Amino acid sequence: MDIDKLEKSLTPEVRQKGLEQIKTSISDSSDSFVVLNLTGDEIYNLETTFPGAFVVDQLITEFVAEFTADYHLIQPKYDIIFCAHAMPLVEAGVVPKTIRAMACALKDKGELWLITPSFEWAAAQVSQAKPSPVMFPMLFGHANRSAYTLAWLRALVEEAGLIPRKCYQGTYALHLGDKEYTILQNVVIGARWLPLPGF
Amino acid sequence: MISTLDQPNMSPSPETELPRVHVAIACYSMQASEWWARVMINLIKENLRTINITQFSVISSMMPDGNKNSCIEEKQIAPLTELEQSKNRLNLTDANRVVIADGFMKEKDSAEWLFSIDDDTTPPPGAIAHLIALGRPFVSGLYFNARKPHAPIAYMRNELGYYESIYNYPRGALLQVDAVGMGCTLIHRSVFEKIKAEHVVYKRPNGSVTCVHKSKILDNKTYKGKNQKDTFVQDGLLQTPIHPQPEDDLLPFPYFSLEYMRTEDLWFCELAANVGIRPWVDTNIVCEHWKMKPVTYSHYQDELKKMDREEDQKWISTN
Repeated sequence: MDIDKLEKSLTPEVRQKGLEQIKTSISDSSDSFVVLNLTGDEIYNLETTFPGAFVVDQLITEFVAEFTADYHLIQPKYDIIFCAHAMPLVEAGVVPKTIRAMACALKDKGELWLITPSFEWAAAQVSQAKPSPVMFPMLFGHANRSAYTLAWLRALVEEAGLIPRKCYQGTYALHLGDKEYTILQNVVIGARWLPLPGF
Repeated sequence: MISTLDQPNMSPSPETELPRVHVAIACYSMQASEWWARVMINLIKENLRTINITQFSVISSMMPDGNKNSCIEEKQIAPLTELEQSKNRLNLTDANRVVIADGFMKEKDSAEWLFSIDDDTTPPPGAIAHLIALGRPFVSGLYFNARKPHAPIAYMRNELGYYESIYNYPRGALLQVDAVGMGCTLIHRSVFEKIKAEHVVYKRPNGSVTCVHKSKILDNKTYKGKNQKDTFVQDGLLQTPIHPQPEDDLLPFPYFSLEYMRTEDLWFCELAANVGIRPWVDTNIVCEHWKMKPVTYSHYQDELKKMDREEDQKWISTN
């Protein structure tokens, strides 16, 4: 995953908030810029993406077990929830609940960053005479239980009451043996803004 | 969560608590009654539920919007005289859009938003409220060129500066692009204000007006050459003597202009880019594009499949 590219898409407010935290040095995590890093097999280092932020790492499977049963347990305490390539580990049936739980865990003006392998890319490979060798591990590897198109990912975010700020596809590198393959990933950033009156 | 540049004060009116929208059709000629029915039903459904339509402008024209390209081409072959041009201006889409923008800007206490439709596009139900909820000052739905291969009407500039359609965009994408059409486009008042505040209007020898961003005006000297009325080329530059627009000149601000074989929407997008605003396109809002029959997403999809099949055939024949 190309975190540098994502970093460029940070809003000025978020970036400024992160920089302010560096200046004042974080002493109390309750007042700081807090990022929840929901992870699968791989933990991404978010220090450069969200400089000065207080990053909490949690396995996505733990988050699902803890919060999707009862939304009352959820406190809106995160400025960013970052979930890169972990959503495929979630059972398809609880995906909408999981996204809603993430939305509930965001502070006002917080953002949910969802990055998943592109199901569209895999589907296009399926119909090829010679599909990419990384299609099978992408779809079925690592105990994957769901796959996401950009349109569905966006719909999930909107149904959870977030406003889509960015929805696009990008590339990332996947390694199989000693070879590197470039495949597509879907990126949706949903923002929890104060609702506009009348909506 | 977006920058102040992207997020002007877009709070709705306190009286109604609904966003106020001026709906405009720039170039109505004689579209089918089915088209009117679809457009009006969708607008009526939205009005006073999710938005407040304060005004509905329809500028009639001898020429449907779809003919504007051939009109530009004709002008290049046989340029009109100044008089002919002034007589024909009101048939042209850019003049109509300028009239609409001017009227919109003059009603300062009315609508915050201008929603532009062409006389051949039908936005889907709820399009305006959906676009407003995205919180972008300049955002468009998507429709497809009526001619094959049905290019999506949203463009990115390539390295040479030319516009290329966003073929193969991922469905559901919300993209910032370089240019959009005006067939399903929502623009906040602040965009027009910013453009006007940061550009200076000049009058050209043929009586038309153009505008230049303040940062590109290197000095305020007036042209002293002999060819006061003529455009000429010097040092690889096209030079046109210009004069600041006199205060008593009634020509409105040139927000739109059909120039250089290009459509008027590109001009507006470039003015907006000059002031730091690029349009967004929401690929979830897909319109029909009416000719004799509507051109829809499925026409575009058929063309993509055709291209894929051609690619497959090539692959089979070479392997």
